[in-house]
Amino acid sequence: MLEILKTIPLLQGFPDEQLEYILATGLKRTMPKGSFVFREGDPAESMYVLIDGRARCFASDNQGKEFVFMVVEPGDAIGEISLIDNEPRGWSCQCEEDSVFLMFSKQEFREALDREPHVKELVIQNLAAMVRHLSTTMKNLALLDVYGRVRALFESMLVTEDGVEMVSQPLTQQAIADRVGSSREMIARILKELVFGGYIRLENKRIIILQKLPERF
Amino acid sequence: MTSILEKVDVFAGLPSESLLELEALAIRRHYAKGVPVFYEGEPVEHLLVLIEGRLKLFHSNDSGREYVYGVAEPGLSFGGIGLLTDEVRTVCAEAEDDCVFLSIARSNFLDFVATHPQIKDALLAGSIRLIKHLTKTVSDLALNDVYGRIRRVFEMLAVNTPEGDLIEGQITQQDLADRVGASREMIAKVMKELVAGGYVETGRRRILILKKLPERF
Repeated sequence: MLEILKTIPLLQGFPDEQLEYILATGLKRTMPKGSFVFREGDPAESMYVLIDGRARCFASDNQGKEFVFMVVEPGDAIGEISLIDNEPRGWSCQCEEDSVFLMFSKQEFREALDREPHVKELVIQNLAAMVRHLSTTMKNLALLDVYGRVRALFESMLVTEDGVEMVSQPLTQQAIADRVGSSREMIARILKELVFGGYIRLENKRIIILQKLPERF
Repeated sequence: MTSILEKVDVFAGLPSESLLELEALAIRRHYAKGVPVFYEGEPVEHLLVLIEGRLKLFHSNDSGREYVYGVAEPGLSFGGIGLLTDEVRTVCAEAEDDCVFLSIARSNFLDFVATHPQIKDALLAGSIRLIKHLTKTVSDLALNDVYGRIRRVFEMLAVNTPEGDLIEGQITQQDLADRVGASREMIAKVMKELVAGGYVETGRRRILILKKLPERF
């Protein structure tokens, strides 16, 4: 467990004794795929650090349409905002895979925040990263068309495996639509054209990039 | 004697003597209407405290399209978190009117933070407010149609008067388009329908909302 914590970017440079303290204080919680870590409007009692798995943060309208504005990866902290401003959860967070979290109670978190100056530094860095991420998301939504946003999403998730460029996670058309703020039908059309044009190939739910995606659709 | 900084978000509640000392180190800067104040991606070198005028915060793309995400009033500061985390500016800013700023250099600000660590709590609270605002805005852009976004911008700008909810000041259709992330033509169409339906009345430098705008267009 200690070795896992050491791989977390947020905790780099923490001495062993502090990591041990974190392990001793945090409660290990395993949540199956599909379960909610918290829901928009819930009162907040704890914050979480994702150790394994993946979760998504999203807002939804009253017709059930969702917009995923952030994906939580191992090492990311979530839920600390409501513990600082004492407001209900501002959005929902749901596990996309079976996930393991370290959970900290409101009291533990507040005490650590007041007592340990570097905890405050970490929280500030984490929030600054969120501001940056949301600002870019906002810019893309306002100034790019749907194709531009799909392209930006693919480029932000690009990995190379065995010399092949691909999008790092399998994504359904609905998942893409929820992340770029569009409809499944629109995404289906764009993917079809990209396959037809020889830009991408779909293989076992993975999106393989064959050549650089065009600037414009 | 009180410092002008006492009325500024991040400095609220700090001792007057310290703020007077900090103010003495600050440089007063004037920006004429329409002049850029900072750009997205630029390293943050100063904390800028807006003391007069209004500041337009926006994103733009290569083809010159703008998305205005807010107009800041005096009493707000820009760059505090950026200086603390060594980050770049996340948006562009331009003087909406003639503006006056107090500019505090990086080293002076960081020295001040070191001797007054409680300012970090104000910076934390400020970034949380910003994150919540950004989350609302991105959800709005992703889940609402243009009409829904116009409605939200009207609700944000309107002031309650005996005549009804009133938006005063020069707001062109292009300004509205830049605020909601749509084209001027689309705004013209929606405004025409709202006037025809007796929902709003437009005049010189004012938009009067006569009755509650419909949920859907």
